[in-house]
Amino acid sequence: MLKSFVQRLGRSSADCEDIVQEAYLRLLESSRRGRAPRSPVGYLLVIARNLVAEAGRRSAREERRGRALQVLNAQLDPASPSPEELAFVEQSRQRLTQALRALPVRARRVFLLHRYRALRHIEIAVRLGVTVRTVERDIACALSRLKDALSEGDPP
Amino acid sequence: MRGILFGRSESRPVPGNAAEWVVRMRSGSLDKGARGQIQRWMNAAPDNARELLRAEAAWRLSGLLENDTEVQHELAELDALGATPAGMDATYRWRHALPRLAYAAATIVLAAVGIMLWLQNSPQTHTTLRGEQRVITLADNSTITLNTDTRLQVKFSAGAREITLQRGEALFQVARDAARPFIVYAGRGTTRAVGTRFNVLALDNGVTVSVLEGRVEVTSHELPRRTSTPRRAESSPTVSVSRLLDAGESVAYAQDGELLVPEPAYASPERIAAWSEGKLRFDAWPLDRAVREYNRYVAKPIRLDSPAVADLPISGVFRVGDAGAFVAALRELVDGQVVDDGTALRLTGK
Repeated sequence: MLKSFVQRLGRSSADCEDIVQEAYLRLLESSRRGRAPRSPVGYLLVIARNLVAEAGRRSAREERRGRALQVLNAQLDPASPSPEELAFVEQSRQRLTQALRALPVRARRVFLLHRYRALRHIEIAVRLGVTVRTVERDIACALSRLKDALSEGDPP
Repeated sequence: MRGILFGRSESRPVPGNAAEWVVRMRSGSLDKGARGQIQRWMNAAPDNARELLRAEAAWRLSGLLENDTEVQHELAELDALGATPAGMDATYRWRHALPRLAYAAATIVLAAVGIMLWLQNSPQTHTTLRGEQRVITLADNSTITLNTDTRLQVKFSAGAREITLQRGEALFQVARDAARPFIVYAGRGTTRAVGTRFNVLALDNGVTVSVLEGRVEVTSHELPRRTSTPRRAESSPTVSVSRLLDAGESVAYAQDGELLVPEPAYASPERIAAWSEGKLRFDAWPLDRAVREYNRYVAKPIRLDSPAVADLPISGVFRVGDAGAFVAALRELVDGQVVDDGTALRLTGK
């Protein structure tokens, strides 16, 4: 019983990918209607990469992603990322590092354990002696700061 | 244990920002209610979808810091505090991940290009040629049977399943999904269904919607009539009229959106059942209408040269593509001749 409970909490969700994809489509829709997405291209790129990389699963979606993947494979040269791509990765790394440093200690610890140790909310709560709700709030808070740090200097 | 889980998730307040949604999305599978909440939240403000993507991107990009010295240091401290160090594994993984990072960086931009190309092509378009019929299955397991000379577009989004019937005829078998209505745009009207089976026929002179199972709502947007008080066309609002249709009912609207009484022949369930099996079925149809129907399926149309035979009733079932049988039946019916002039088969009565 406990095991299945924990598994449920930790299971990664296909819904997540669906929702991200929907959000992405929406954004592109609105940009095609003339409202440009003011967010830096980089975010879209990361999402796009993941959408393609995680191609699979469902029939029609699978087909469409598969097609995107074909387009990709035709162009892909993994040996030589462009200077722009490397610069984007480097800039993101710097911004995220600073944002992590600036986090309150508890929120940073919670986030690190969740993100890099893949611990479940309840495991973090037990280890740090806080409630699960606090863990959830801290993760959201940390993520929110990282998100804002990435958009620094971009037009609002 | 289960009770606690449910109690907690039910009492949880609706998260108000993108990061909370992402955390929730990643903490387990979402039930339908939660998905709906996210979608409503995205709908609430244009920037919300963007914020969700930003938060998701921040999550994914934060993977870049896994080998950061400070991060590793702090994690080592935390491992010392806790009872379950998992550091060996992570360090090992990271050492072998460096070449892949370059690969990942390359894919970032290129994938975006691919996605963009792919998105330009969406929504997906399906067409049939004259005489061709095809069944397509959509992502939600709904099926569309395309009749001859038909062109439609399929666009699925979080809030709706949208089909644009540009021409021709299609039979829709809609899978139930209360959160995403199934909407068919044809001419100046829309047909909205949740889970049902209905047929939409879009010809040059108007659109006929017939319901075989369930219930749909048809809305037509009528162009303003010319009235005695002259008004500029741009300023005249369109008038929307809606009808609820139950199984067995049908409605038609003209090119200008005006609701019409449907022609029984076009709306008849027998005709729809027949075409979806690749057959043309006429129950005492006037000859000119039967010929018009037949012509939808063929490259070389039949022309009636003598108006006198136009009203002769014709009955029968013909296979789509079996032009010979239909022409033979016509010849017999009018006791006339068929001449092929290269572009059409001309039927002359005696």
